[in-house]
Amino acid sequence: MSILYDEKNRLNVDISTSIEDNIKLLETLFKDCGDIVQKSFFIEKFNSRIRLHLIYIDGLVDNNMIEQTIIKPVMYEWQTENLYNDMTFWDRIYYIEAQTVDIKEEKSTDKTIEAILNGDTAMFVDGYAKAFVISSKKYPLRSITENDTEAGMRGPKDSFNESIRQSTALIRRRIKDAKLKVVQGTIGERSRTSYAIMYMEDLADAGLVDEIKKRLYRYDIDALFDSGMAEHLMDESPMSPFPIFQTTTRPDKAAAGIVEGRVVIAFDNSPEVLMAPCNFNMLLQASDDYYNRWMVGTFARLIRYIAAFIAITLPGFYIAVTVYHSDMLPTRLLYAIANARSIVTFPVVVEMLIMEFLFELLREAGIRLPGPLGNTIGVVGGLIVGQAAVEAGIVSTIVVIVVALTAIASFAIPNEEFASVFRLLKFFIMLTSAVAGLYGFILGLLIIAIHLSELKSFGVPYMMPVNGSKSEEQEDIALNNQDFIVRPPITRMKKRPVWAKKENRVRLRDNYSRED
Amino acid sequence: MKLDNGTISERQSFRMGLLENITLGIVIVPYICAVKGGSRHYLVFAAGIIFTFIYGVIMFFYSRMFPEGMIEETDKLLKKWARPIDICYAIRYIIKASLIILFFSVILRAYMLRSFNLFAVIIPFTLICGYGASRDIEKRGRLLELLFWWMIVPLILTAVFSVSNMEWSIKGGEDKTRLEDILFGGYEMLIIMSSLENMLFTLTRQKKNNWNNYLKTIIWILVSLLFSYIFVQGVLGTSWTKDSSMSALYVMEAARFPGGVERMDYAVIAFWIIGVFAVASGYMFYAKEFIRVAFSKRWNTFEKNEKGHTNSTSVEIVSDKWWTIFAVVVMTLAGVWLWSLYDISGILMDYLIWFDVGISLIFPAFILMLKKKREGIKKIGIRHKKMINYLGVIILCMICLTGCESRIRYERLDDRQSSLERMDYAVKLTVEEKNVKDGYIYKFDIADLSDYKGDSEKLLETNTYECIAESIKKALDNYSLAYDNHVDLGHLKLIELKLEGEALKKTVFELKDMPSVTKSVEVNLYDKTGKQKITLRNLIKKIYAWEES
Repeated sequence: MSILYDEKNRLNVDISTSIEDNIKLLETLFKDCGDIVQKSFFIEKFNSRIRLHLIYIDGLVDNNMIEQTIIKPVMYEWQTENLYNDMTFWDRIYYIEAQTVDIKEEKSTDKTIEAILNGDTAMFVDGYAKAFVISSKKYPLRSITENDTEAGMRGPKDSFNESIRQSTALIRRRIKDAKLKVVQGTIGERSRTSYAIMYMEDLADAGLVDEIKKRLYRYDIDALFDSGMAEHLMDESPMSPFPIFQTTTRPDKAAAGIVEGRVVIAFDNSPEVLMAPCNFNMLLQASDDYYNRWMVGTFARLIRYIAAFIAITLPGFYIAVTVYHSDMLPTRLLYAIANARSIVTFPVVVEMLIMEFLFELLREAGIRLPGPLGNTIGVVGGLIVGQAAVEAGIVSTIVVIVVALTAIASFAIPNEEFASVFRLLKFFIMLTSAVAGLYGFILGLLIIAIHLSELKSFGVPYMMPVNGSKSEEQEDIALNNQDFIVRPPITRMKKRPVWAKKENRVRLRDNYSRED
Repeated sequence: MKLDNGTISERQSFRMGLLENITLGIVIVPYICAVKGGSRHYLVFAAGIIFTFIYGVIMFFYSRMFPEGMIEETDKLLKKWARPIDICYAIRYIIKASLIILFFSVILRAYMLRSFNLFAVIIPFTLICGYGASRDIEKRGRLLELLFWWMIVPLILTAVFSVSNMEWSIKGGEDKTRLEDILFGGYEMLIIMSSLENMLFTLTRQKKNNWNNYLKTIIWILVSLLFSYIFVQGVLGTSWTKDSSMSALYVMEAARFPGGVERMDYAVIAFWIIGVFAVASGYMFYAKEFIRVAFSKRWNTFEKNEKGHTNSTSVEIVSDKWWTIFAVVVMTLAGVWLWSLYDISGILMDYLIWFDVGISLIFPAFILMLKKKREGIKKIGIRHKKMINYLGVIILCMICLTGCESRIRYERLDDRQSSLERMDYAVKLTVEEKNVKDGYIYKFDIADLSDYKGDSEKLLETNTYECIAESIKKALDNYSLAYDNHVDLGHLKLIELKLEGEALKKTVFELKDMPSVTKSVEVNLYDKTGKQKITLRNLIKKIYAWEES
């Protein structure tokens, strides 16, 4: 069996002109595959008996469609009995008898088998060293549902699902421009996962698109089940906790990224698409910001920035101040903390670690359990265990407040992957603060700042527009026209970001003629 | 994407310049002005501003003369003879980085980490500076661009919250200050600002070596110094300012964020770490660059081979950045072992006075002369000749100005460190000297938190502890022995001093030297005239004034 495949798991045998050989090959390949459906047909035409062989995977295809478009017309409703005598049998089926547009001929065995595995139907014809591949996919699919991971008060509610075709269609529906390109391919030697790279031909930097293609094929992986795995394959800083791709399940966000000159990569079986380049600022933006009035959007964004800062620093700062620099605290607050802590047996650091660990445990348990049970865990953990821990003198009330505030702040970050980084780094800052107070706190932040300032996503500095602009023009675009903490009115966001092609940076101009 | 091309933008250059140059200046310049100028401190400041500006202009002139970068052009010009110069520069920067880290660590330990071993402060900081210095100029530019506001915002906040503490009425110091002192003070100020030399390297990496941007940087540096000088002089007065090289920290201590942070100095010092990081990592960065050039195999380091890689030697394989970090760690630790901590600032100043500034001016001038000769201009143009003459005169003046008597003294360290619930909080401190032979009576009113419910209306119960001791420190030790708990004086609400003359002075100065005691605390002073209410800060100033009058 293994001699049929090369080192990259591709079939290295050709389709034979003898249908018996092809059937034997299929039987060998699909031995012990109970979901394979295959059958031979005989047609008596042109004074001879011609054998056809159809094969598909049960459950992945639309049986009815195969019956109506291929079997019925070819077997029973033959149209060209006495016509088109100059055409070959193959061409007659292809051009006249098959009642579908989505039919193509395939000469490669590997591609034919891949098509069958993807839910297409293959038809072999005796005497021809090629096969028909008829598109007949009908996957078991989740319908397009309301977005529950990136919910917003205003704006569209739909979300991507596991079908790559529906993902691309949802974006196409929003950008009706022929310059929107969808470059497709497969990745994964065994999973043969389909992907689609989507970008605007006149806006996206050609180098960026090439770089993404290059990185996709940097490794040969056996199977790729989610865009998350592809993200890691393409990562330029695998040791960094920060994501260099933005992930989204919102078609409106993906479409907005494309018209900004970014590239979207969708993967089959993954409801999240990847967007590149990406920076810190983007990961704190939400779609609502653009749909609400600019001041409201700006305020929401400011809250998120503060939340991000709290999420990473509050527990560490609390440790630093209470253990090393209590002089900083206002007297009454100091007395309140000292009084609350007087019954606690553990030092501040241990107390904080216990509470943070408890919170992470509850979060993890809440995710793994089904909806109603997950909520119960939250109530049981948050209220009952928290209250009991305070009464038992394991933790103080102030620490419960600090941990709760930190948790709420981390949930205000719109991107879950990004929020996880903050939750992780919070422990790092806690550790440095526990070791050296405010000194350790600042050194911890400094290490993160050094790392962030050297990080890039496809050549774009991660902390842009705070840093990284190279010229006055870029600074002007980055600071004056683009949205950072302040989301300017749409009428003032006249230019696209710096990664869009220079000649097409203008995205809004005055329409003085008032024409359509 | 082509956003990176090994250059830095004007904004990055500006922010790098500001961060690298104001960090030490804002803390030490007011002190230098007060020590050297006495009541004419403003003359020292003016002289320092002029010297610094001239030095900055010279550095700009050099950067214009070496459009490809001084390191690169030296390498091209001198070939194998560039190595000693590169090594000399690398050593200079390693020494500066080591001394600054050492100096900073001592201050940090004295003010923030009193219970810490010095090495526990030095080693992590040096490693992080090394980490920051190991990047290329573009990443360094991006980093300092990002860190800029982290340091500037706390400084602005400190200034805003200190305005109410400013007072110009109390003056001190000698009335007759000699011209040499004024000039030498100006020179010392220039020495503190000698990190301006770094601009020589950053300017050539800027896309456009723009005079306006450079001028803007210099002006903002000088404006920052001016603000620092005004605030420190205004809040503390001359006598107190010249009492401690870290007098600027008292200004920070006096600033408080109403209803939020009781005292700002910890926060500001914490953010000052970022500034020191900028300076130290800057020196380490340039040291690394010089080591890289000095130990490359071929003399023209910047020529790349067919594969696009820079030619390297075994030293580079070990990594230039690791050599730099190693050297800085060794020198810093050697500094700790070889010298008493109290001498570090003196050593730093002596080194800078006698060697560093001179080298920073002479070497580029020497290379410039060689360059002009190599370019075929046998006779250096009159303009350049004049410039070199002026330079010579300036260097000569600087060498002639001498004196290394200024030594920075530090408060002794406190080894108390407890979590906040393990401390007892003194609300009131009373010191009396009645009928006591060898010491004073100290009374600490300790807050009783057992029934505390956070009710601001209710009066806090207190317990009084009384002892006889020679000093506050001894009294605190007595308390620790008696109750196995430390007393915190950071939240004192009232100090009652029933003392006069030397006893009063001794106690007030002891309180001044205790970083945990806020200087804005109310003092009830009982003397012959009766009871007098005054803040501790004003009492300190008053005692300085009495001393001088």
